[in-house]
This record gives sequence, structure tokens and C-alpha cells, in this order.
Amino acid sequence: MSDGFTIDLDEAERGCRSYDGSLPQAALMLREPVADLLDHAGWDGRGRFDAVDRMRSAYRLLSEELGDRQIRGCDVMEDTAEALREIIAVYRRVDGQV
Amino acid sequence: MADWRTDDDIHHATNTMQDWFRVMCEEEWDTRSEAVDAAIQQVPNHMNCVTALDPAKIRDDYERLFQAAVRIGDNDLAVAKIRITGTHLAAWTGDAADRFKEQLTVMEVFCDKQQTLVLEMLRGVAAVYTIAVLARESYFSIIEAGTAAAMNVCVQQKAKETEAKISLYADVIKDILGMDAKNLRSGVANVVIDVGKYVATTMIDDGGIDQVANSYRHEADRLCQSLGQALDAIQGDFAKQHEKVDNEKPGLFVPLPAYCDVDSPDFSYERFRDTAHDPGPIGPQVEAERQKYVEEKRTNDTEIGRRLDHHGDKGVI
Repeated sequence: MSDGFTIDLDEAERGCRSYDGSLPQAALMLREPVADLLDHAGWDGRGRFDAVDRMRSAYRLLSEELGDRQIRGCDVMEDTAEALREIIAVYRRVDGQV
Repeated sequence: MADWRTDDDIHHATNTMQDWFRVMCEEEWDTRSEAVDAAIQQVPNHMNCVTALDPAKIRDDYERLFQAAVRIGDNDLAVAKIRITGTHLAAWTGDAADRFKEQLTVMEVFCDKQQTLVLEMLRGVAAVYTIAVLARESYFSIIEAGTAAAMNVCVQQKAKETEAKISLYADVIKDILGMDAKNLRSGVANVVIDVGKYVATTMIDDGGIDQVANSYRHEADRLCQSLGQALDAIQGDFAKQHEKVDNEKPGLFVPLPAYCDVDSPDFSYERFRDTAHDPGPIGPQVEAERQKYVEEKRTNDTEIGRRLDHHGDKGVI
């Protein structure tokens, strides 16, 4: 009891610490491909065809949806790390009293 | 050398065909043919259809998206980071601790699902690439056959073969979109199925000036029409996928229970406890500190809000 939570909190913090915690780092890595999903450099050739415009519009909507979903997934990962950090913050305060 | 007929290839070939159409008129009857005029008038429209997509850009996009899919679903380092987070939490038990650990598994499932969805979209991109290349090849074949037919008319004999090879886009698209997206590989050329088996042959009629011109126009119109139908089929596939993605909410987006959040009175030490400490004496201390923490957060938020408002910045953030 006299050791408090220190060891366990330090260990838990390695998972959720901002920037270098394992979970925020995973979120950062998974956020990298988002730019590729949202990038629409275009497939246009020299010609012009209505059916191409319609198809590209549907493609753009889909890739944006997938990109947004990837962003949201990474946000949830970071929010999860934040929730853990808050628990650790409260426990560290308690730790000073144990 | 490109793996497809370039814009210049097609441009030069159509110029040659139009020249032979004119020569055909001069040498045969030295007269104008309405059929030839109508065919030549349609050439820019046909070229517009078949060169509206740039295979090089689609190929590059395919590769970029394929690598993105790999970095989402086969990212060993990211998965290792997620999994080791669970190891870092190993000392903690209770409903909330369990839920956090479960959430890590849900994250992995999310990545796997995202990869599948990106690959399914990529399958459509592969289909677009394939028909972009085949449309150019088919049109080029029609032009060559049209040129040969015009030459035959000029020499008044069957000196050149007037057979054109046209791809059956509907069948190609159906097979590509029916592929298992998990089997997609790097490099769109590796995806493209054996397109040779989807080729139909047609003849450009070299029985006379009008026959050549009408035959060219008919085949090129038909090509553009089936190209449009194939593109619409791919559009429909993209739209269907979009609807599926829109309706399918991943487990990761389900909010964690309130007891995982220190801001909530549902949170308690019992729900996130380590194995060394009995909740008996610590539980009330955690609750007291939790309440103070929440109150301080609220006060800080209010203070920040007040300052921003004072500087007139509120609402900008």
C-alpha cells in the first residue's frame, strides 16, 4: 500500500501519454493515409465525357466518406487515450494522499 | 512506352483515317459524301469519349490508394502500438479497465474493416483504369479498320483487313467488380484480368464510300455508348459502397460507457482499480479527488471562456 499507484500509473501512462504514448502514436500512424484518401488529383484526360463526370462524383463522395471515417477513428483513439490520462491524473492526486 | 494508346496515337490515327476518307471521295467519285461529312463531324466527339480518362493518372492513384490501404490494415507497427497499450493497462481491472482493453481490440477490427472498404473502392478504380485503356485500344482498332476500309475502296479491292477488335466492357466490369477485394495487389496492371477473352470482332464495311463512313460511325457510336454504360455501372458500384459505408457504423464509434469517464459520477475506483489496492479505503479518496478535478476543469474552462470572450475571440475557435 505504501508504494501507492506509482508503478502502475507510470506503466499505464506509457500507453496513453500525449505524443509518445503507444495509443496516440498508433493514432498518428493511422492518420497518415487520410490525405491519400481525400486527395482528388483527378483522372481527367484531354477529352470530356458526361459519364466520366458522374462516375468521378460518386468516387469522390465515397473516398471522402472513407477519409472522414478514418479521421473519426483516429479521433476516437486519441479520445480514448485522453480518457485514460484523466483517470491517471486523478489517481496521481490520490497517490499523494496514500 | 505507355501501356495504352496515347492521346497523340489516337489523334494521329484519326487524322490519317479522315485523310483517307477524303481521298476515298476524291478518287472514287470526286464528290462529297454526306455520310463521310457526318462521320468526320463525329470524330471529335468519339475522341472526347475515349480520351476523357487518363490511364496514367488512374494508375498512379491506384498505387497511392493501395499503399494507403496497406498503411491502414497491414500496419504492423500501429497494431503493435495498440496491442502494447493493453499490456500497459494489464495491472488494472474492473468494468472500465475491461472496457478500455476491449476498445483496443475494437480499434484493430476498425482498421481491418477500413482496409476492406478502401480495397473495395480500389476495385472500382481498377475497373475504371481497365476500361480507360480498353476504350482507347478499341477506338484505335476501329480507326485502323476504318482507314483500311477507305484504302480498300480507293484501290477497289480487298487489299487490307477491316476487322476491328472491340472490348466487351460490361463483361470486363462485371468480372472486375466481382473480384474479392482482398486479392487486390500493388500495381493496377497486376489486377487487370485477362482482357483478351472479352474481345469481340466487328468488320468495317468496305463496300463503298458511304458504307465505310456509316460503318465507322456506327461502331464508334456503339463504342461510346457501351463505354458510358460501363462508367455508369462503376458509378453505381461506388454509390452502393457509399450507401453501405454510410449505413454501417463501426463499433469504434459507439461511445465508451459513462463509467469510463472521470467527468461522470458513474466513474469509481472499483471500475478502474489496480490489483494491489483494496477499494475500501481508496474508493472515497478517488471520488473526492475526482469531484475536485472535475470542478477545477469546469472552472478552468470557464476562465478560458471568459478570457477569450473578453478578447472578442470566442466563437472563432
